[in-house]
Amino acid sequence: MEEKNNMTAERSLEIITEQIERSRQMVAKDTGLSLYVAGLCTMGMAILIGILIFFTTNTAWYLMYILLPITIFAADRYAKRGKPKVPASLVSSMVDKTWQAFGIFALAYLVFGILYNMLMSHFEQPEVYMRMMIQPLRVVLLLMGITITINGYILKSRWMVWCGIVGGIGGFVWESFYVSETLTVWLVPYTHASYIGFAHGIIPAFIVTVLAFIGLTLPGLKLKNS
Amino acid sequence: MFKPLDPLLHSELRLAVVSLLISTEEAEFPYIKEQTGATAGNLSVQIDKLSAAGYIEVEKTFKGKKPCTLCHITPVGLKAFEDYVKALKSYLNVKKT
Repeated sequence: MEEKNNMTAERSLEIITEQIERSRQMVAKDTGLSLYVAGLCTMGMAILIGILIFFTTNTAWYLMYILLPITIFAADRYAKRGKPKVPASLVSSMVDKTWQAFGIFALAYLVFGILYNMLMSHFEQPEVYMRMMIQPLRVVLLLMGITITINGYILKSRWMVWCGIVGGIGGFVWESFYVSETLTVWLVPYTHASYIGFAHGIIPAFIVTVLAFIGLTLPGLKLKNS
Repeated sequence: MFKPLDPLLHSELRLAVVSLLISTEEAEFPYIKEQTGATAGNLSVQIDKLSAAGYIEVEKTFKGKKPCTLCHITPVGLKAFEDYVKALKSYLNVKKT
């Protein structure tokens, strides 16, 4: 851009509009890269946890999700190394804050649910435990759907809004009707040794991976390449 | 009646810099350079002019071992930009009628 002082009013307006739009696009691309990285990390973590639970039949591996924010932070820093830092704007701050809020609530509920289930399984009879146990995944999926939808509205991405609505509500309904458990029993008999590995490892990992792909990786890729 | 246009903002590069800064909390020098497509020398001169007028604040820090120049708009700059847009509107309204 050269130094010109004899501009028309239209040209001035054009410059202002162009810069604001360019800034919005940069923020969208930067946010897209973050979403893409977060999606890949979530998918990787879900698959890893699923495999570990499948082989050890120990659901305490779910607690590894606590490491997810650190993993995402480190991967995000690595992906953006050497690039000029995109300044924080109102849009990027809102996107960051909604994901932070999701992280706080989802992790708190996940950790509480896992610890509660572990305690109840030790102190209660199996029949009572089956009634009292918390299914953290459905609420986490709902929270994830809400976050993706809000971000879709912030970034004016209709695709992302629908991904959030379909993924969040779909995941919640899926888990509420115990579709995973039904499918597991259908695939692996309840008495089979690998039942726990399938029900608590492979199927939840599959659901989280699919939702992370639809809600994070795909919109991230779309925004990143926009 | 036409409102006078702020001569400091009525320049392509300075207007682009201020327009960029109004939507961000602060921006690094390389980011502004990339977004405006200006040369480092020219941009530096224009930033100094805006800074001298109190429209933007320039902060020189370090990012690791590398020097880092941060710019952010001041309330004076924001007011000047608002007035500039208002003045611009008066020109555009006359042209429409």
